[in-house]
Amino acid sequence: MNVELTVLILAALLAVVQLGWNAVRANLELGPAWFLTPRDDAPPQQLPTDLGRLKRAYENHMETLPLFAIAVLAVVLADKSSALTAACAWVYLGARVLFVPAYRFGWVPGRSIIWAVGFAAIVLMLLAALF
Amino acid sequence: MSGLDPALLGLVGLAVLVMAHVAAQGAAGLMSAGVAWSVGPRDAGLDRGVLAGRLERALRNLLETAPAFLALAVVAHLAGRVGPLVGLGIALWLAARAGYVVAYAAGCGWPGTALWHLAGAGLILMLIGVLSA
Repeated sequence: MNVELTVLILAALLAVVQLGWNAVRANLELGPAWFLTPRDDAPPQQLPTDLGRLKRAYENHMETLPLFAIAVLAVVLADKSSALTAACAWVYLGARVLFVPAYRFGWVPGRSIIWAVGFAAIVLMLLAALF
Repeated sequence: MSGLDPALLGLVGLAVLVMAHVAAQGAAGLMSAGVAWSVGPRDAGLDRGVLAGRLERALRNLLETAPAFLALAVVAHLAGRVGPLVGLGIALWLAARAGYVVAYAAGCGWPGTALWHLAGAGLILMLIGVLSA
């Protein structure tokens, strides 16, 4: 299997871990009762600050993951896989892993820089697929 | 551009579209909420103004429909079904989604809705192209 595809699976697993961790934490904080309803009403209380940050970190990951999937599929299906695209894939994954503590602990401007690094890796892969 | 058929080009087009959305939405937020809030952990659910709100909702809407486009384009490519219908559907979807964000940001009601449905028609063309042929 291509390195890029392996990293794509790892990036999806990162989303699974973030989702699972956030779900468990939110259930412990708010109690499972509200989650079992159709959630017509707002939750009984606001998420604590750290959990709000983890939620936004997860949502941000879900925003970049489709782009990364496109980049990986385009590179692999068009046979444009190279050392550069493999390195970009790892850089993306590393940035997305670091993004979680960066958000959780409020690294400023570290979080923005880490996000930009992950995003730039995707752009490079897309360019590599095109040319 | 060698090696990329219309389906793969469409995928790259989708990526460019999402990036344009993210950039526009980020810039609008930056202008209305300021740099400090944008690079901070965003704990306060700040009201970021009308334009930033519209671009945020337009991005959410794009991300909601993008997986269907992604799935159809990948299947069309892998199954060798990239014919005129699929090509037309891809072009229609990308063009309508690009127009949609402009219409949303400008606050047009009906043109935005019409463009959303036009993009839906593009997906249906792709679906027909993938299933027939």
